[in-house]
Parts: sequence; C-alpha cells; structure tokens
Amino acid sequence: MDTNPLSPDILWHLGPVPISRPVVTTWGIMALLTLVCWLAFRRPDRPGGALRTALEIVVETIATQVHDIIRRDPWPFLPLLGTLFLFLVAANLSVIVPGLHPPTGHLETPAVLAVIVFLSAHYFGVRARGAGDYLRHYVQPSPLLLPLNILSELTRTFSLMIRLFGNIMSHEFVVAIVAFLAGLLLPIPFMLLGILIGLIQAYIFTVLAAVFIGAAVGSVETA
Amino acid sequence: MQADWWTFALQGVNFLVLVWLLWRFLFRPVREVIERRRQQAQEADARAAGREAAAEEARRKLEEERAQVARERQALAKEMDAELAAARDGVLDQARRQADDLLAKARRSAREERESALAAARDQVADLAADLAGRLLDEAGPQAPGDGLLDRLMGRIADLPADERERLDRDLADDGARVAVVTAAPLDAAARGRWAERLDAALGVGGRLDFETRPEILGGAELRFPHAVLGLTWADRVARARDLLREGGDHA
Repeated sequence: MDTNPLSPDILWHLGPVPISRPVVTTWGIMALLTLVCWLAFRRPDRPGGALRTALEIVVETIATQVHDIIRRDPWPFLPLLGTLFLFLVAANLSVIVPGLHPPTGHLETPAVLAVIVFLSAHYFGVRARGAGDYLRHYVQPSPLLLPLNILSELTRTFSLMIRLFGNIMSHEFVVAIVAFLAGLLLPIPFMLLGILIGLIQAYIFTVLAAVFIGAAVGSVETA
Repeated sequence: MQADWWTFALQGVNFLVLVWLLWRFLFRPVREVIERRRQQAQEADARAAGREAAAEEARRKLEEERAQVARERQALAKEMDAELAAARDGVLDQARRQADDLLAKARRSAREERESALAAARDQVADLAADLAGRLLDEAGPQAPGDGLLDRLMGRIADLPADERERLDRDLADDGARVAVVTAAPLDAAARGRWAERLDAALGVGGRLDFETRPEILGGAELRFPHAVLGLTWADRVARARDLLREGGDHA
C-alpha cells in the first residue's frame, strides 16, 4: 500500500479531462442497468418474463416506500429516488466483483449524490409550495432560526455524503487489510458483510433523500 | 484525501444521465404497465359491475315473474276451487233432487202398490162375497118372486121421472112392442095373473106381456121393454153389492 487509497485513481485522460476509475465503473454500472432494463421492457406489448416481473416488483416496492414516506403520488419522485437506490445498490455491490472498486468508496460520488439530493429537495419544494412559501419556512417560527436552518441543510447533506462514503470506503479498507494480512479466503465473510452494508447504506441514503424531499414539499415533519 | 472536481462533475452528469435512462427504460414502462393493469382492472370491475347489475336485473325480473306466476297460480286455484265448489254444489243439488225424486217415486209407487194391493184385496173380498152370496142363492135354488116384489116394481114404475116414463110409454106405443117378465123360477098361473093385472094397470100393456124364466138372475124379477129394462133381480143386487163393496173401499 505504497499509494494513498483516498487519492484520485486516474486511468487515462480524455483531452484535458482526467477519466478516473469511479467514472469508468459508473459507466459500466449505467450500461448494465440500462441493458437489463432494455432487455426486460423491449417488448412492452408481450407478457414479460421473470426479469421483467422482478423489476416490476422492485419498482413497485420502491414506489410504495416512497409513498409511505412522502405521503404523495410517488411517481414524480421515483426517477430520482429509484435511480438513486438502484445505482447505490449496484455501486455498493460492485465490491464483490474482483478487480472493481465501488464508486461510492471515493468521495466524489457520494458528494455529488448528496449535492443532487440537496438541490432536488429545493427544486421539489419550490415546485410544490412556491418559492415564497418554501423560503418562508426557513424563517419560521422565528427569523433568528434562519442561520440554524441553513446550517441544518448543509450539515445533513454533509452527513449524507460522509455516511455513505465512510461506510463503503472503510469496508473497502477493512477487506483490503484483511486480505493483505490473512490471505485470500478470510475476507469472504467480510465481503458478505459488505453486501449487507452496501444494501443498508443504499436504503438509508434513499430513505433520507426521500425524507428531505418530503420535508421540502411539506409532507414530512423533520426534527 | 484529495477531491477531483472532474470526477465530481462527471459523476454528476453520469447520475443525471442514468436518471434519464432508467426513466426511459424502467420507470416509465413499469408505470405504463401498472396503469394498463389498473385500467384493465377498472374495466374488469366495470364489466363485473355491469354483469352484476345485469344479473341483479335478471334476478329482479325472475322474482317478479315468479311472483306473477304465484299470483296467477293462486288466482287459478281460487277459480278452480270456485268452479269445483259450484260443480260440487250442482252435483249435490242434482243428487238431492234425484234422491227426492226417487224417494217421492218410491213413496208414490209404494202407495200405489199398497192401494193396488188393497183394491185387489177388496175386489177379491167383494168377488168372494158376491160369489159366496151367489153360490148360497144358487144352492138355495131359483126363487119365484112374491107379491112384495111386484109391489116394489110398481112403486119404482110409479116413481119413474116424467121423461123416463114418457120415453117408456112411447116405447110401448110402438106396434108389436112387448114386455117380458123375467123371473128365476116360473110363476104359477095365479101369480102371472096378478102380474098381468098390475102391469096392465100401470103401463097398459094388455096382452103384450110375456113371461120368461132365467135362473141366472137367481131371484127377483125384471121387466124387459123393447128398449129398456126395469129389474129387481138378486143377481143385480149381488152385483150391486159387489160394486158397493168395491166403491166403499175406494171411498175409504
């Protein structure tokens, strides 16, 4: 481990743009997810098979969860939240593929996802309640709470990012250390634990994003 | 730890592209499938509701028809009961009338038979009495009439109504008209003389008088004119007695 694992892992440069390993892995995940979905729904008029049925179940389950959290029609939020969950599941579980490193184990990916959630919450909030009503909730019940509310928005976004990044990165470190110290077979239980951690973190990130958006649109009371 | 802003930007773009890709290839098709299924379910519900409504309507019609049939059946039963009662009453009346007729006929027949039997018995008794009287008189032998009988004949001639007496006189006025004195036993000469004398005095017959003997009159005498008979014979009396016996029974 003569290199810093937290440093950017640049594979090549596309002109002035450096292409890092998380970006390439993300492209692969995007291609895989798109291919699977295209295969499942390429003939919508015909009865679907097991893959299509499984995807329908997954989507309906996500929609139900989102509806239970936001208490609204989930379909306007489903492209963002559903994509978030599926991408995080795929990204976190890429750790079990030999030679792959989860994009969420590098700071840029959780950070950009947290920023997207932050911006999306404001977008949905303004669209649902109007700009004035939405911005007014920052000065309620007292204008003195405005700095605290802004700080709360920033810290929860930061915690959203750090939670995902820390869990995935630390797990990747643990597996690497155990594999370095104990050999090839011993990391397998840690990898199974990594699957559980990856699913839980994807669920937590998505649920927290739904809670933030629900609070923005006025359906969820936040502490 | 270093952050690569290019990676940050590219990952942001990648995620937004993935959002569009999954919306295009996953969420929109799934939503369309769900909407289609919901629409099909609603259509199936609507069809089921329509069929249920049709079934309910059919059931209601069936109930109405069943009630109508029940009403018609009750009406028919009532009408049939009335007809049966009328027919029964008619049959009973007819039977009662026939029974009354039979009873009346039987009573009438019994009464007629009884009357007939009584009449036959009476006739038989009258016949027996007449036969007995006739046989007794016959066994006693023919009796020549006495003067008493002659007096009674004269009395009857004297008591004749005027028109009969006139007709009797006209009858005797004819030429060759004769009067026969019929007795059961021959009269002797003295008796004949008295009879001739008295009859001539009453009727003016003179010598146109004949005397005949006929035992079948049993006794007494009768005068036979050309067109009339005046007699007091025992045979007539027996016959008269027989008739009186029969008439007496009828009057009784």
